[in-house]
Amino acid sequence: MARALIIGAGAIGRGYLPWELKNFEIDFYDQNIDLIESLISNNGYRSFMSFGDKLQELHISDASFFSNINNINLNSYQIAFICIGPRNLTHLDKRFGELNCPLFSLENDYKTVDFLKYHLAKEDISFGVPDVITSLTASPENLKIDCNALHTENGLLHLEKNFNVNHELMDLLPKINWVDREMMIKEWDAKLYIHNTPHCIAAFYGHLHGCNYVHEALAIDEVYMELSGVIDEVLQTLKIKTNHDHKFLEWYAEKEIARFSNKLLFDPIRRVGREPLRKLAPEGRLLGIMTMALEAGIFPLYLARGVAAALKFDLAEDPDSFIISNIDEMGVNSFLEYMISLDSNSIQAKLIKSAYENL
Amino acid sequence: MKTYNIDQTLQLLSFKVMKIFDDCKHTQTIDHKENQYRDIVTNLDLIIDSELKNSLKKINPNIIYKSEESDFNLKDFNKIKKLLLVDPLDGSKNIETNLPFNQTMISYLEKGVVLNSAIINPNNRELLYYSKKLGTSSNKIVQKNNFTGPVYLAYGSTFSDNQFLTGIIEVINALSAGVYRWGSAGSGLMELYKGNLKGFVGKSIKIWDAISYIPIFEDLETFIYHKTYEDKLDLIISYDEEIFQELKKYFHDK
Repeated sequence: MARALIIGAGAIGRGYLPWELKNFEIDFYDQNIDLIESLISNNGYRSFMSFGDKLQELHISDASFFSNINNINLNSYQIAFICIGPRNLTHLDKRFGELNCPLFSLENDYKTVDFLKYHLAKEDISFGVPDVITSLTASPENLKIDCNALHTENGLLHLEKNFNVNHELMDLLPKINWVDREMMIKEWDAKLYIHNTPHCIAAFYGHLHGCNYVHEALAIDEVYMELSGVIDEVLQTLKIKTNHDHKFLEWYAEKEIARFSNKLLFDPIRRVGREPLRKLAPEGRLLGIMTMALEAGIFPLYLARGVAAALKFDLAEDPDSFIISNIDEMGVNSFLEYMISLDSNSIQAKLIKSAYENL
Repeated sequence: MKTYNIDQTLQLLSFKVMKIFDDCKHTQTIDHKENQYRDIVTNLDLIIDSELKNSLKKINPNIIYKSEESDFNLKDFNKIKKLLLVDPLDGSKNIETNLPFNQTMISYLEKGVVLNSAIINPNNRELLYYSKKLGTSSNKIVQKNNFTGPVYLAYGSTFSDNQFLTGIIEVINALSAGVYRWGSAGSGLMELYKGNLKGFVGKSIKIWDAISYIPIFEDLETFIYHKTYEDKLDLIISYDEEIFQELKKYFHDK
């Protein structure tokens, strides 16, 4: 049987990918020794996928779990995926470059492909977009059954098709949407801005309202209205700034609020909003689209309020919480300039500062 | 009351400095009091010094505070168990002359060894942190290799051996793109860290002018020589072994 290696047993790696890899024997690698030991001692785990208002269970009981790369035969795979979180890539063991199969980065950033090629000294690395919401946890009932259970949507995995992907491999992955580079960028625009932008803003508002899960935030009228405004600004911006098919963009935008509201997902606010500083990168899902909106002649008021909400995401357990919770110590201007490289006199900064004061 | 570890303490102090720089940018209240022709003290020096001293007292009162503007007696500094050594504003003269070369340097030392440092450069909005535990990190600094650029030369305001300085300049001129100076040793070290310079030479400079950077460059595995005496520091750093060895030999011979 064909074998697949999943590097990173988090939400996407553990919760979603096994649904796409039913024709493979799966090995998981994760640096979290406690998690790996728990997965081994529990003989695997369960992933629950939502179909309408029902959940379907997949018991991953025959996979192998590793926290030590020395125990992995890197020559034994037909495909491998990396989903460890962009910030962790610099710590990725360089020996994964010895994998002799195609490797896909599912790290929400096209640049990670170039980084990984350099870091691992490996050429056949491509990009993938898992268009799916996968929680890092599960409902209380399912956690009682399995402490490592997760919930996921029935999503779609887009993988970049290039020279190293053969038909044999494609036949083993019938649900995958294989796309060329240009199409991948289109899918990426749609996911980064129409999906990821409002998704993280939902989490920031959810935190402000004391919610634990994204669907709880969406149940608050005020949050729902704000997110509708955000999606509308993003949609109009992409229509003006890109050549993407308007029907595709509208189709994608329309389903988003319903996805976030899915009560079966139990997607934690702490996961979706985590590392707000990374999300506030100059060309990223928040500031990048704000700038694009202004270039398109759209005044990004909802987006500015969403960014301001990010500046209040002071969840104690988050890696960025020390900086976020001390914004007032450094002043908002300094935060914008030192921490997210935004000129405090720019229009974006003025909108954000005004929203921050009023939030 | 909230407690902070030493990494957080230095981060928090750096935040306070960032705010002062931003406030002063908007209020333009910098005037200065001269105490020497070269060394001036601006109000900004004193404001930063006072903020850091008072904040440290609240955050972590067990750490002794010394700075260029407060308790600057560094005799036996390497015997102090926990010391925060600060240059509130390196390059004060550049404030007056409107040159974009000044910064704040904060170092935490245990018995003379730097375990943490925080450097705040308000001109390019750069932050550079060092932690013995976590290594070096910065907010947006991109490093590049430089083996062809100039060498920064710094010397203490009371150092008057012009013959020695002439000799150093000769060595630098022979093996690099020449001498650079812009009135702030810290700014020279920042540019060296970024790779815009080939090396740094400091003769008889004040310890707080450069000590924050020493572990950062040690981490980078550059060629580095340093010697402290009283409150002074001799320092040579370079990415290039040849010029480093020549400068070191010159220091030893003289």
